[in-house]
Amino acid sequence: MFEYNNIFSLVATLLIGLGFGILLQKGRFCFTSALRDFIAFKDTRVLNGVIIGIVTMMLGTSLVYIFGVSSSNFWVSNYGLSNIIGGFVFGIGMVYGGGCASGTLYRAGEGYIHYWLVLISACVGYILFAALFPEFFLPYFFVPLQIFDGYSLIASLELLAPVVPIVLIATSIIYLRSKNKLIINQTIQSIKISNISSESLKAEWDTKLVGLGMGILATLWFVVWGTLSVTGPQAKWTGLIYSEIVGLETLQQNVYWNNVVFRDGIFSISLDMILFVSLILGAFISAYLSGDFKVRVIKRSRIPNAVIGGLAMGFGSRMAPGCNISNTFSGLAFLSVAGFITSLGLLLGVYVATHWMFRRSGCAI
Amino acid sequence: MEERKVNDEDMKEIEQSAVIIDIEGEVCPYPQIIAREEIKKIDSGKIVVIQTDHVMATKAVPQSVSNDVSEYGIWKSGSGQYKIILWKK
Repeated sequence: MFEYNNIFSLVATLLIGLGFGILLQKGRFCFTSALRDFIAFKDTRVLNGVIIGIVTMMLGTSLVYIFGVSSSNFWVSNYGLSNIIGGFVFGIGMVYGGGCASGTLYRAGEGYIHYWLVLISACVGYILFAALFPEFFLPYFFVPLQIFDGYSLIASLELLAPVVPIVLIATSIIYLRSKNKLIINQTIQSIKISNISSESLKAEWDTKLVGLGMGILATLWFVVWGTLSVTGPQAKWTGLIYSEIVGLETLQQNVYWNNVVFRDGIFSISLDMILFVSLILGAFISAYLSGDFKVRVIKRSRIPNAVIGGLAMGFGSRMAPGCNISNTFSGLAFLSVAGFITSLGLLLGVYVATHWMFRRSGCAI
Repeated sequence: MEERKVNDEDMKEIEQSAVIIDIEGEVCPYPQIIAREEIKKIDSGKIVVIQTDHVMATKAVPQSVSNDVSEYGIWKSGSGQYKIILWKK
């Protein structure tokens, strides 16, 4: 039933998942919020944390890769216009539904019925997508649109890969210091151990520190398993649960379930699926200890947001392929072309949906 | 826009003169949209208190109205309820 090398990788997976859940919850680390609030109010606080996380992951994964600590491969998807369309649909869904793939997950742990409904709707989206894949999405979407082989600068540079993040980090430090925006002493002061109290642990954590932690955890996850993704394991859970309802044979006959979601037709619980569950658990523990947990009943008038937003995220993440985490986080960290163009489509979707939702009060950008 | 610390007693005083808006159950981005509309409606120097159970609102709402607000405060119940106090410029 389980598919893992040893007990250590299972324990590591559980701990990394709990860590992700805690960091996402404490940092209110949400990609929708990062992009939407930048467009609507030029608020860059969450966005800065996301950028720090991406660069940390780029440095971490390229280092463990060249030192041979990790045998994982960089997830580098083939690309084409399909990524932009998939990203666009996903971007619309995450603004309308109220959260990205990772944001939905940690808020499910905080007790929101709304985000559980987004999750379930995304899963229904996967089932519909898989049913339409052989006759529609494969011949009319992927074959004509996904035409280029995947390329990642970090993967192709091999031994020279860490040079890229090091140059990026050095340049931004020099730039920020010249603008007097980076006062290193003050930053170190603010994270002194003596400043940590139960009150500061219960309050919101600085998004930049959370971004740094996310990059470090994503690197550890790269050592244990591979590329960090949310909707990938979510689709696998959907498949396993769906197979209990309609029978395994039905899924084995479908090329999308049998060859894309579960590679080589192995329908079992893998480590990334365990990470997915422990992330929700980590967010629950963190929210509970911080006084942020509450079973929040969904407003009836917002049910369409959760259902339509979730379905759009389900379809969009299958079409791109990948969610905000595998593209806008891992994909950008690997400097993968698919990551960049999917993120571009996602940003366009967020832009259109944000302007529509803020049509009465207006947007900054 | 500065953050002002508020305790339970401050909260009682603030609520006597503030415009109180209950948006329990709303999730992103509706708290921000509602906050922007409500802050426009009131006079300069007045206070809006937004009652919410959305964790993200405590971060996103003050930022969404930062141009119109001189100070903001966050009151936490400890059981998933929050009051966001906005002092209009």
